[in-house]
Amino acid sequence: MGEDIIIKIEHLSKSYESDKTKGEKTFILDDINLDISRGEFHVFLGWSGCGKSTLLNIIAGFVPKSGGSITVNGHNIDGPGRERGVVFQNADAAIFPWNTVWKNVGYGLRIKGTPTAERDEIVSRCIKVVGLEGHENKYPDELSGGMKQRVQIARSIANDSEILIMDEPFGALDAQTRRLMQKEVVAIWKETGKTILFVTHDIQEAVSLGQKVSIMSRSPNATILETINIGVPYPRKLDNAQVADFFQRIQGFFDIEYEI
Amino acid sequence: MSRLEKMRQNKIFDVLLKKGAVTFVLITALWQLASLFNDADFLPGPAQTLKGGWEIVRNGVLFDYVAISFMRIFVGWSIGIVCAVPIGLIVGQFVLAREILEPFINFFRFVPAIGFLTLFLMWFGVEEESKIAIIVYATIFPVIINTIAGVAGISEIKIQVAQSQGASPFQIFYTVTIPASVPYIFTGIRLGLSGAIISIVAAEMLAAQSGIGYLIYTSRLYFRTDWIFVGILTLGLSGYLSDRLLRFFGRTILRRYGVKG
Ligand SMILES: Nc1ncnc2c1ncn2[C@@H]1O[C@H](COP(=O)(O)OP(=O)(O)OP(=O)(O)O)[C@@H](O)[C@H]1O
Ligand SMILES: [Mg+2]
Repeated sequence: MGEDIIIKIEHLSKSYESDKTKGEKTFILDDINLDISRGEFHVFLGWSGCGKSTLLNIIAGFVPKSGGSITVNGHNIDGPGRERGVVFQNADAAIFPWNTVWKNVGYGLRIKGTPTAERDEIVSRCIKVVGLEGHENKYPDELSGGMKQRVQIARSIANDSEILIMDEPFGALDAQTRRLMQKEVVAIWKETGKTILFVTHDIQEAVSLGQKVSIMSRSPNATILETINIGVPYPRKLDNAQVADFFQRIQGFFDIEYEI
Repeated sequence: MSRLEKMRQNKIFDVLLKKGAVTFVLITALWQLASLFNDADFLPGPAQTLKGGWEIVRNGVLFDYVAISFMRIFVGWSIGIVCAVPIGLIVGQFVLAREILEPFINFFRFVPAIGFLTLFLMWFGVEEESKIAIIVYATIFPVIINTIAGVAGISEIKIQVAQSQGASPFQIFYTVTIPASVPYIFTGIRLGLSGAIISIVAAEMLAAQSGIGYLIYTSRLYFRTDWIFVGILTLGLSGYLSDRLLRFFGRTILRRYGVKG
């Protein structure tokens, strides 16, 4: 059909073997099916504990799946890989405190053995993309929370990861910074054309960012209830009528799923 | 006295308290007091100790002894660190190495260095080598044990970052495991130094013709209790100063690795 699928998830399930249920496994995730197109901004939305992080960790290759299959560019994944860059929520743990911003961003390139001149060029470009010019020689403890997340994003872009996996990356930021970072991440996505997988439990964040929003059901046996296309152009305003409609619709799912 | 003056005086007192000067004055006063009720051969006072100390400073003995003790400590401690850090890193990293070596380490960590003195004299001779071997032994265990703890305590996220940036296990080892273990290694090195000082004194008391331990031990034969005090003071002071120096090094050069001094 001409659509370029970068990630294909079929009948994916996950269970952390538990002794409690002797033989009877409890599945955290059950029968997840999803195609993600190249260059798509895909948001996963679900309430706390439903298995969003588990799903992203499986895609990132940190956690083994229990059943089904995931392919990236047609290849089965069996561990982490440089084409899947990860932006962790806990930036303090995820940025190397012994390296400057410059060296943190260039980490993957040093690992790969990219020649210095080329590396410097790439790092400086990526630092510009995330708006960290002038902070190159700072150490992580001199950065604000928002800046640390920019470092993580720049690091994955510099390493030429096609996919950015972001698990509630702005969850620890204050409201103002979070809004700013939401705008920035859309700008970065447009500029770089990356495929972004973005987890949140915030409906506003989901409708501001996602081209597609996959709504997850409650665990155990969490699955994707529905994937909604949000065709509203960016930047999106929450008081825009279309955006408000999507917000209502998603809210409706939650009201039914989590009737509280 | 104006209020301003009072405040300033309080501040000065505060600084003196923090820098240990108040403690120093109190101890000296107490010591002086105690010496008044005792014979000088039994408990010499600060003044006598200073006078006796001056004697061995002037004839160069004290400096020679401090130098020789610290040469032994420095050589043994350095060798100990160079051996222990790689062992700790490997044992911390590889399950098989840990399972093989951990019982061994947990056995010998309870055998103090000085317990090996006779053996080392036999194996390495009565010269410097046996003393240095004692120091190596005393340094190795705290460094290994702390390095292992450092490797074991690395956050999973840092490893995952490196993995998704494309690092191989070996690259992860030297770009993440080693730098992340630095604060623990540093703690081990500091503990190693105090272990080294304790052990060298014991070794010098039992089997040496020079050094601070030798000074403390032989002064008894000359009824120079004041020299024993000089030896003890020198030990405490040089240990304190070398630890301060080490901590200074840690919090300046190794600050980025999370070392707190
Ligand atoms: N290592 C593990 N062993 C056993 N159970 C686990 C493990 N990790 C997660 N779980 C369980 O899996 C379920 C989903 O957890 P997960 O962290 O994926 O949820 P989440 O949607 O990311 O939640 P949150 O919004 O709070 O981050 C939870 O019930 C959790 O207790
Ligand atoms: Mg989560």
